[in-house]
Amino acid sequence: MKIQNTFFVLALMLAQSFVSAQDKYVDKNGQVTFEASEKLFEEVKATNSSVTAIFDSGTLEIASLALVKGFTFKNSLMEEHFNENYIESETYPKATFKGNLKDLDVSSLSEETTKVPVAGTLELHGKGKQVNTELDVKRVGDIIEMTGNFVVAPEDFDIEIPKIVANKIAKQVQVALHFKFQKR
Amino acid sequence: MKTRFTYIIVTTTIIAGALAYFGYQYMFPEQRNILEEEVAFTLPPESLNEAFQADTLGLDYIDQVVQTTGKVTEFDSGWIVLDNHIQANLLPSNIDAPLSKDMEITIKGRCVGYDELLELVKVDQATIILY
Repeated sequence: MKIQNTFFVLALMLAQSFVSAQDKYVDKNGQVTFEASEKLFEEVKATNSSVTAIFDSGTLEIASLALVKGFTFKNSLMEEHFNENYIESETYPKATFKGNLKDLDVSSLSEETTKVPVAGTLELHGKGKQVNTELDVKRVGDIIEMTGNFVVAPEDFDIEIPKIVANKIAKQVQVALHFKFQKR
Repeated sequence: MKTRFTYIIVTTTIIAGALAYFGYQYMFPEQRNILEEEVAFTLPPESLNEAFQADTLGLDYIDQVVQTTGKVTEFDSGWIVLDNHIQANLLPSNIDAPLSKDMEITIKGRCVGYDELLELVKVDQATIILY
């Protein structure tokens, strides 16, 4: 009886892992851009084209990781200052987002964009911040595509902007994301 | 008098020009060219991955030019995974490189860090230097 039970539990675990593996969508090369430009001053904008994102279509959980060193600026001096003085990438090498999509029926997705609310925590520079936004979600062939925008402030993450450059960097940082998920 | 005036003008122009040039170089330094840079580390994909598992910050490797040889275990437009340990994002000039699974290649690129979600070391600005 005991052996039978063990088998049953094992079979159940196996089935569960099979189901969850089937629901997983991955993008190894997602794109995240942030911009904190002020009018009349040099563009403060960086893109990371190697962001990882994993989406579970069963639980609607989404997790994303961007290596801070992967953000590239047009001006390499700006990139150096960003890494060394602001985001301190040697101490905090990652930016992560963990959240949940709300009210989405993955099977009903089509090439037409569906607006889906998402809530989660953005973590960077060792600090977390709750983010609520809306994603544009669509399915093109086997790919689930998500795009979105949200706004954060450097002070939310204890990032100090020195007074001398304060008027060149926007208080509100625009973040844009673009993920193309493929079934794992 | 006239020669002295000319001398002052010429000297000031040269100094101002030099200041502007070096100032510009300082403010807008050239982007790194990873392909031209000297390789800091040559090691197999597995060893690089293990190095990050031992020390998650991996400060010895981050931002350094690495060269590594491994089998292509996965690839798509613009990126490849070597030995299931490294994901290399290729430079635009390499995007059309003919690739196939299990092919052994050598790449040179910049080590960006360790991705815990995928358990892969990410390398960017990579070039395939040997098929």
